[in-house]
Amino acid sequence: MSAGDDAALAQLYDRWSRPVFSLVLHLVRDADDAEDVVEEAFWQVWRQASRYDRSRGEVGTWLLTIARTRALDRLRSRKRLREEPLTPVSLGDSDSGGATLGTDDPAARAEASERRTVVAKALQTLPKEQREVLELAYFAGLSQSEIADRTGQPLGTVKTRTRLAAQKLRECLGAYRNDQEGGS
Amino acid sequence: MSRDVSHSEAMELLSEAALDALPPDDQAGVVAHATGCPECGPALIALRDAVAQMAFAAPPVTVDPVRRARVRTRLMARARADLSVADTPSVAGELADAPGGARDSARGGTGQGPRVIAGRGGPSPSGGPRRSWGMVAALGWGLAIAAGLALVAVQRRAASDERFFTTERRVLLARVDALRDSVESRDAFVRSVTGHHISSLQLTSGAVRAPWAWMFWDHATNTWTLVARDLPLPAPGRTYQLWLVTRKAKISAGTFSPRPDGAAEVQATYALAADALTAIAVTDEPAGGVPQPTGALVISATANRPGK
Repeated sequence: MSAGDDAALAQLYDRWSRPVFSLVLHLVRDADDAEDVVEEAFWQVWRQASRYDRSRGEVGTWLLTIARTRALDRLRSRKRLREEPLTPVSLGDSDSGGATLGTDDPAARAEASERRTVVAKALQTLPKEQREVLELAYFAGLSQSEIADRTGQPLGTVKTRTRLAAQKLRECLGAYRNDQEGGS
Repeated sequence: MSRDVSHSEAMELLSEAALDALPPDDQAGVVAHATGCPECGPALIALRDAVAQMAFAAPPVTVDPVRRARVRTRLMARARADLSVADTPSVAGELADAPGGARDSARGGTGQGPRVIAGRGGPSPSGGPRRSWGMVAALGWGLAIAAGLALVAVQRRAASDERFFTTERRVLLARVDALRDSVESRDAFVRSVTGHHISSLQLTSGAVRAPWAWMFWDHATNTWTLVARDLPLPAPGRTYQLWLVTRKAKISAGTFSPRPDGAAEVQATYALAADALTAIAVTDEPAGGVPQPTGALVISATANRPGK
């Protein structure tokens, strides 16, 4: 894509648009806003493709980070972060291995479903308090001070929990990847 | 803006930096330090990668295929336009750079600097006729190049239009598919609540703005259909999770979020013996759901007396 291959952009979109849409819609809670944000996130990746360094992480990580940042920017610009109503969103898969739900694209959703399962399991290994600060930081885009205000916890406690949670998440997901690589 | 951040301080702040949760100056300082630090750099990359995976903890949504296709179309059109701008040489630039082009011609006409054509042909008392022929030749070159570029541009535009209409056709076909899916989905929904093998349970809550719901269980297809109304919206980072409760287990039937008006329709497929169900429940859980219920009960029903 850094060589100006628009087919690569199309491939990237086809591969990643679902998780990006899910994330952005969950954050901005408005389908039209989500559409704009998703387009701008992919456009930023296209424009800045030459800056992408494979050694600095997976392209999906880069894309999701851009999408999240843009979604949070959109939320902040609307200045209604905490009062957002939810938009109509369809039901997703269960991640507990129980009942199965209807899918619209089994192949694409299977991979996303596996990732969801892995991430959910990793999050479940965290103590509730650590999981809470991580989710507030990631999904609500709250700063550490804002999390402290919201949860009523001292700022130092919030910082410690955030650090421990992020490190534990990294270890869990890293262990999963090692297992995958070892098994493949 | 960026402030100087020491190594030990950067190490302390890496997790927050991975979440972009630092004030801008601190964020820039940590990133700047990590860029050149063999210890902090890889650690920040790994943390960012882990944090980015949290995107998959967001409740998955089924995105309208028309919406997805629309974004794709716009994106590809922008990329094509971007490439077109990058590829198309400027006519002025071409003329200026062409041998014997306008720039040379103009330079010859000023009477200043080396006049290559006049110099090569020997002295010319006035230089007028030679300059005129030179200008004519240059003009001819320019027109030929401009015509060629215009032809290329027309061909490119035609090719671009063809790709655009091909994409538009794909969008319209996707829309037809989406509408067909929608009709089939509604038909299936109607069947799932009106069929011959349906049991129904009413779920209730004691909340002030009392949500209510009906669960329809199609024993023939093992399809469970929850129709809920007036559900409060879950907090950020939270979701609702539907449970089928038996004497031995609480079985997750998936996570969901209601629409802004508090309404939701949820379908799941799970085979269960006719007398195994003891209750239906919806709980408030962390985004992504949990293996076993941990959060507050939002709405529930016992299955002692199913509606059929």
